[in-house]
Amino acid sequence: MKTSKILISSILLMHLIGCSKQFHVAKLIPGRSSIDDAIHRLGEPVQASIDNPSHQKLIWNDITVQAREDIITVVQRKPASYEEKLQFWRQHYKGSPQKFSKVENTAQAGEHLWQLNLPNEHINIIYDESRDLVTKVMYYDVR
Amino acid sequence: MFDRRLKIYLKLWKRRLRRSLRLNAIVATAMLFVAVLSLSVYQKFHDEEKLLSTFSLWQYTQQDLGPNGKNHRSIASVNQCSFNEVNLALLKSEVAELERTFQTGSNLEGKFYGLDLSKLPSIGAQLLADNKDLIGDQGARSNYNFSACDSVACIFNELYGDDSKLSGYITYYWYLKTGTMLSLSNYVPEQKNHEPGKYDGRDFQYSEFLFNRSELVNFYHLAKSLPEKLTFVPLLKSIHKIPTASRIEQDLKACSFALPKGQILMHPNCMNKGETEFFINTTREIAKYADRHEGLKLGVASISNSKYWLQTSGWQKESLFNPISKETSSTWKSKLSNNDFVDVRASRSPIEQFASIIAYYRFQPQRLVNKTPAELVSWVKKNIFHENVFDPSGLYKQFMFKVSNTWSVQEVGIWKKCMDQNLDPKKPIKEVQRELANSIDHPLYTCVEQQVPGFINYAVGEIIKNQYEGCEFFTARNNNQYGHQLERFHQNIEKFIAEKILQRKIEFKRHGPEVLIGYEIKKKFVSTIDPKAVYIGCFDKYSAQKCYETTMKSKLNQITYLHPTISKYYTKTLENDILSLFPFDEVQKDTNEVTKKFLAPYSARLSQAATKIWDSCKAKGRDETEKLDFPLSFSGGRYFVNPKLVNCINSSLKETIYDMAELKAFHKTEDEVLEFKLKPIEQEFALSFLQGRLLQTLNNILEKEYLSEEIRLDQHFKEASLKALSQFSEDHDTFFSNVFSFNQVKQLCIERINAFYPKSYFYHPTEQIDIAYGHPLCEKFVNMPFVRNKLSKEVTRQWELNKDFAEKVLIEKYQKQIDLCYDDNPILERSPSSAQQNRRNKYRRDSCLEISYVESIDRALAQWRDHKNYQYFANRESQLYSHLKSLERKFVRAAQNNQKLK
Repeated sequence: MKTSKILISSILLMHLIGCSKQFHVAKLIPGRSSIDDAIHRLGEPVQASIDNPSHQKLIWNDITVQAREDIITVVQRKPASYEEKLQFWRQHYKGSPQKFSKVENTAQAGEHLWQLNLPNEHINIIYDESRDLVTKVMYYDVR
Repeated sequence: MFDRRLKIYLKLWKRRLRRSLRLNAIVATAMLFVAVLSLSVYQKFHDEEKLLSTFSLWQYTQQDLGPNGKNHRSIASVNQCSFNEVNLALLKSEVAELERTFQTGSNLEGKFYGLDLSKLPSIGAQLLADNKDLIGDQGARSNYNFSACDSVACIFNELYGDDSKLSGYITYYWYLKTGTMLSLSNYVPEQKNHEPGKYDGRDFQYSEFLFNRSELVNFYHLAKSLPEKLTFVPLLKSIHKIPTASRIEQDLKACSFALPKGQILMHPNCMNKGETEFFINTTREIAKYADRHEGLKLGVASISNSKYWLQTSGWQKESLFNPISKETSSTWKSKLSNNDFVDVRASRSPIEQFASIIAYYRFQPQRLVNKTPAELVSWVKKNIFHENVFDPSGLYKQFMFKVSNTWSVQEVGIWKKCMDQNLDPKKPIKEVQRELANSIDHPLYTCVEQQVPGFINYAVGEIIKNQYEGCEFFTARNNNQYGHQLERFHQNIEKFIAEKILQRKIEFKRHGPEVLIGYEIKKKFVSTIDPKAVYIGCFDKYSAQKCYETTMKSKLNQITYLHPTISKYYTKTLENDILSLFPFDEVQKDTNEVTKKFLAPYSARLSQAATKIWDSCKAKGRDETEKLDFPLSFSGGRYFVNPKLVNCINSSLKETIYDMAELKAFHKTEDEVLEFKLKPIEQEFALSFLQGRLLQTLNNILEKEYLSEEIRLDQHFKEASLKALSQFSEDHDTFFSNVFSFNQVKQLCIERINAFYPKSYFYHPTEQIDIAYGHPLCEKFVNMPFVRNKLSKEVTRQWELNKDFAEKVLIEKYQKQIDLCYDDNPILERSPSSAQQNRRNKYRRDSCLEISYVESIDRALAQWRDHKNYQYFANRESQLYSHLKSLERKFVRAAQNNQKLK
């Protein structure tokens, strides 16, 4: 009984932690949020290269942030379970223009990566055709 | 005393029984339970047939080789070696034998370009029916007539134009061994130009898409070399040749390429640099599908992308997006050094690394071991190659195991046969034991020893026939590569068998009757327990090997319980014997092989069933308002698919498809038809092989459907756009009267254009058709010179009317203001005293009129904004204001001169 209680509460806790991370990622708005906001919300990154102000990059587990002069330009995250099929994105944004194209030079690595760009939504989806999986969801700012 | 007590108890029980109904019922139920239990236990121990798996029963029937029967295959192939050249007679016999192992008992009806399919073996007929798109010149298929052919190989040879007949037989052999097609088509999957024969921007002859003889011979040898895990990979469908003078469209620098939907593209550059290069390049591409298939079985999308693989190799992916150019760059980086990659391709990504390790493990093991982390090599060894190694000493071990294991299987039969010939059944067992103990050269032993050379000859022949290196290994004693190992083999196999015989002799002496009982038990075990069935019962367990070994032991114990005289020591010996006779890895490999063969014809039926599901779901129509039901097994891949169709396919998948295709085979004998229907656990096992195949089949259907819809849409809109434009141009009431702007007309066009859309489309949402076809068409419509001219006249007219309205309102408003100005500052009648007053009034009135005009403009504009057509001219408000302002001087002057405004 005690073990199951601990198990349930730890599952809930992990779920909460997971949710809060998603919540924090959603609060990072490309074009408005800064690198400091990202660090404040997500903690210290696992990897960071910020010396070149026009190509800054911070990496957490499953989250990557690209920035320019300390302002976030792209937020990359892993898809949620219901977002893992490209069909979800195709259907959800069927009213918006969709630009579907190959990600260049990935064939050499034996991969079949495509990107679904939703210019009106400022979203870019990376899709691995071999595995039938959306691997990255990217939010970006064009300014 | 005790008797009396017992009698009293019995009497009491009888009385209680008579009085209590409940007790009666309990006793009756208990008796019934005991009876049923005893029956089921009896059934379990004695019903021999039911312990065999359906796959084994089917296999035995196919080969006419029952669990108790003998292998009737000849050993004629011992001296035939196909290492240097392919022998047509041998190839034909191999094909015939393989065809027999696939026989399902049902014939396929129909014709293949004049050839009656019902006359072909079922596997051949299904090959033709299932792969029509991969056979022949796709631009000239209607000209074919194969009515003169009597086999699959004959059709292939006609297409190859090969008089030696080898090409056709090798292509068919490859299919029977691997379950995939060597394409004979001039249409390359996903080629940019959809016309057959046009590739990489050039036209090619049909023959340039066909594999040549030397390439086919390499495929023949490869078929004999691939491990079980790389044959019948459900996700792999076909291998295509790219013409020499072209490049692979998807990757211009590559010479081999694996497409996501199950097709491998091979350029001659990958095939003409020697046999080993050919093997490595082809195996590498095949391994990419095994990567995904084995991954699916473990619950991940692919092995190479699993956490274990990525961590062990230190792989990390870096994806960067450029928001301006909208381009993504994606690269893999590994923490391993260059020396840890077997070749350059392996260092590009985990997928390439995984595939390369498999290819090199099989064909250049020494190079792999030196240039790959040991942990990865050992993973591949265990999980892909069933612990087999392919360097000379590894081959020696493999062949030693094969022959010694075959000896262990046949040993019981050999001893039994010799015992029947040389022991008197009437003699008491003790006496027989004494006789055997006192004699070293008892006729029983001599009989067994005489069987050994024939046995070795037979076992070696089987290896030569079925394994590529086997031929070279056993035919060239002075061979540098294998000569030493061959000598070692012959010395050790003879020693092994001699030791086994000696061991049995000692056992006879020590344990006497126990040995005989042991043989009985082993014989019973071999004939009644099917290790494949045991493995299937364990395949999905966390530790399949442990489960398998425990179950095998318990099955053995069930038989030994029937022989209570046997000692614990000998029971243990028997357990070890049985586990070395049926080792886990071998049984796993054999079970997978036979299951794949059982399922090979089934997969053709599966694709028919998938097509049926697709068609019936499409017939239900489309509904764009429906929401997707998650999770999705079939997702539609990279294409949009109408949600109603996706949901319908997914809901039908689990229930219908297996019922439709029915997992069973038949075997016809002269007077009866045997049916082999899978039990639930076997179905589950079989489905683990079919899961990916089914999705792949559906994706292939979708690919075709999507392409055809895209072509259909293009054609449709070519005709429909002309119709729409001409109809709209003549529709004066809608488009040319009472219209106020180009945008309004464009909007009207968009609202009406969907009447010209096709009636059914499933792979494009209406909104995207609007964007791709509707909007550009309407843009084109409003910009047609004739329309533009007509429209601008009407728009100008409407603008003028609107302007007039505003002017009219302005006059109305201003007139009122004028009246007020005149009322406040009237013109007095002429008198000496009024002159000065009139001068002052005029000055004030003029000012009032000037100011009022500006106010009147504001009021007129406010009323103008309420006009029903305001929306169309709202953007021209400043223009209108300027116009009204331009009238100021005219109107104010008229007002000052007390003239009526016009």
